[in-house]
Amino acid sequence: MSEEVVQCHGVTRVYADDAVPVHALRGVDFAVHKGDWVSLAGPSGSGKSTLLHIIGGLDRPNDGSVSVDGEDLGGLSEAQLSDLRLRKIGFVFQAYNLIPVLTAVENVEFIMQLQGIGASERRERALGILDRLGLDDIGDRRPGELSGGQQQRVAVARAVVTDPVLLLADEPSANLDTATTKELLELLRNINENHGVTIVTATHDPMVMGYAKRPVNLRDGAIESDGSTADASPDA
Amino acid sequence: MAWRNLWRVPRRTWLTAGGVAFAILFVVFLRSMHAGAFGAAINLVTERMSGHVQVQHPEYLDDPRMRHTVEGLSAVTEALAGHPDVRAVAPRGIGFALVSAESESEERSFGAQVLGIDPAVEFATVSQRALPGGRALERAGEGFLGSVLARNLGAEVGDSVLLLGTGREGGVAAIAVTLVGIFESGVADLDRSVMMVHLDDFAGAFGLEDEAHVVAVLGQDAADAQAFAASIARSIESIESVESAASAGAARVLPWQEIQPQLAQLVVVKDTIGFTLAGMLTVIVTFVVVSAFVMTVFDRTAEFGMLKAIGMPPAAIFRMVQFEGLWMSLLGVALGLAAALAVVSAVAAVGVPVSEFGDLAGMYKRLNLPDTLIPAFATRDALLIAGVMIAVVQFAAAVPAPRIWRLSAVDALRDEE
Ligand SMILES: Nc1ncnc2c1ncn2[C@@H]1O[C@H](COP(=O)(O)OP(=O)(O)O)[C@@H](O)[C@H]1O
Ligand SMILES: [Mg+2]
Repeated sequence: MSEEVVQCHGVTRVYADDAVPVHALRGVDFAVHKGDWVSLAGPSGSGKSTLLHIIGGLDRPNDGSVSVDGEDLGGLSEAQLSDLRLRKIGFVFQAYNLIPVLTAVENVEFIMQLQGIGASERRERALGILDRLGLDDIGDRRPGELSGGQQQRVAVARAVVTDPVLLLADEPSANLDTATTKELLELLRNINENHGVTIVTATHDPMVMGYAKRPVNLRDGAIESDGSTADASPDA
Repeated sequence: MAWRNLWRVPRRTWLTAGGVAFAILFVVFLRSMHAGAFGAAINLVTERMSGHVQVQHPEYLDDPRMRHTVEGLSAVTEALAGHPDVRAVAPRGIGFALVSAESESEERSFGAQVLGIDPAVEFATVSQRALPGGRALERAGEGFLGSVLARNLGAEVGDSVLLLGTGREGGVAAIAVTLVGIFESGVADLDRSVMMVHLDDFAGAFGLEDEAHVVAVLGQDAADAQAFAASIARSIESIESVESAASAGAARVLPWQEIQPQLAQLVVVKDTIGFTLAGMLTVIVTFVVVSAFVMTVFDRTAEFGMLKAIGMPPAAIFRMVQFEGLWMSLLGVALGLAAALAVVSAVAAVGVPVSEFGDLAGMYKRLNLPDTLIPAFATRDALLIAGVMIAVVQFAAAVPAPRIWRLSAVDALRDEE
């Protein structure tokens, strides 16, 4: 049996700040195996982002438990969660992934700088990952000089350069056209299959779902269908 | 990275750096003008007249009587000469006398201040003033006369001059000297009313023993006179306790500000004005820079949210903003100091007519100072205001800190969608 990178038990999230409480997640049980690529699907408002944020230690559930790489997130302080995100999780967001004043290479280096990695090793690894992901020709450019697709691919490079146990991507293709979405998805497939990075994406883009190994459908904060029950671990 | 972040909204950076630079330019220029204006007057008054501090009998300042003297003079001067910051120690006897000159034509008498000095130790600027005639005072038996007084008396170099006054114990004090020189200080009061004789002649005539009315002392810098006076007072206390019980408590040490209260008052007024203006400017700059930083942090909610999401601790984000502030203030400090240096040297090259400053003009005339004012770069004040500005900007950069900690990565990311 393969190792579980993420385990969720009865994860519930209620937004009570408005007059009518919003039940974004209603007791989700869910696990992600090492090397898997899970795509959280479902209509807008179904709770995809909420679940992704909770798995990533950005948000806390009102009830239930989440563990990542064997660590129970409920027992961690804000500072410990921040450190866990820095060391174990790579993030790719819909927009605003990169620091505008830094070049692509510097953006990739920056996360290693936060990890306390020395300057020469940072530079070497940043150039290495950009090279492997076919982004070496845009390393000197700042985000403003990159297309949306290029920015998202640099964000992927930034997310994986630290060898995270998990890559989380929320609507990574929302601002991209079909051709660049395909490039991004090929890149994600490459790092998933050839570099063994576990991925969870949240999207309502059918193209993304097509590339993922395991589609998980959410509706009204609950799992409606899970690809793993229908077709368990196709490649592993 | 912090440096590059400065140029994302250049207008805001220039606002901050410009505010800092302007405050520095303004304060340094103002203080340099003051330093130039008062530096000359203070130098003249202290170096050529009163000294930086004076040792006097405790009552002499308020009641300058012949018997209010500093006793144990030789012990006092010896102790002061050993003080590391002392440049000159000049004991002086001060009294009043009727001065009459015996010239060939007629005999006239005028009241004058008699200054008994020791030319061997007196400040060169006091004992060797500009000489329209003769030479400076050198030894006993000689007299040195202010130019206006000399003219009034019809006295010339070589004439015999007789001084008649009242001695310490009430008897007649008489000194007969030969006029060896006539001085012209340009200071009307001095030239009209002062006659200098040797301290030995003075002491003999007025009945002083080992004593003098004032011991004028030059230290390193007029600006340090208060501290210097305290230090001198300690030196004197130490000898008094050993030497003679009689003279214990019989001397006090006054900084020039107490001897020249009008000048000191003028300096205090200018300092207060300068301090108030600098304070107001600092408050304005603080407001401008605080709002710039609040806006900066507000505008970068998405960026800071993303940075927190990928695991950058809020303290590290805070430090980054502090660094941006530091770069901005250093930029402003560099510009401000460069501009101040340029403006002060440009104005110094031409000078400003003293008539532009109403209250100063009178004093300058009285002291016979040049009628153009040359600003002197106020280094201390420049460093002070630069330090204050750096602190202001760091403070401003810290004002939005709570927002950095409070900011929720999830909310920031959602707002971007
Ligand atoms: N901060 C919030 N306050 C109140 N309701 C929220 C908040 N964030 C999300 N929601 C609600 O939670 C539900 C799930 O949202 P989300 O997880 O973003 O869904 P999805 O990503 O699938 O579109 C939605 O109904 C949304 O309106
Ligand atoms: Mg969403």
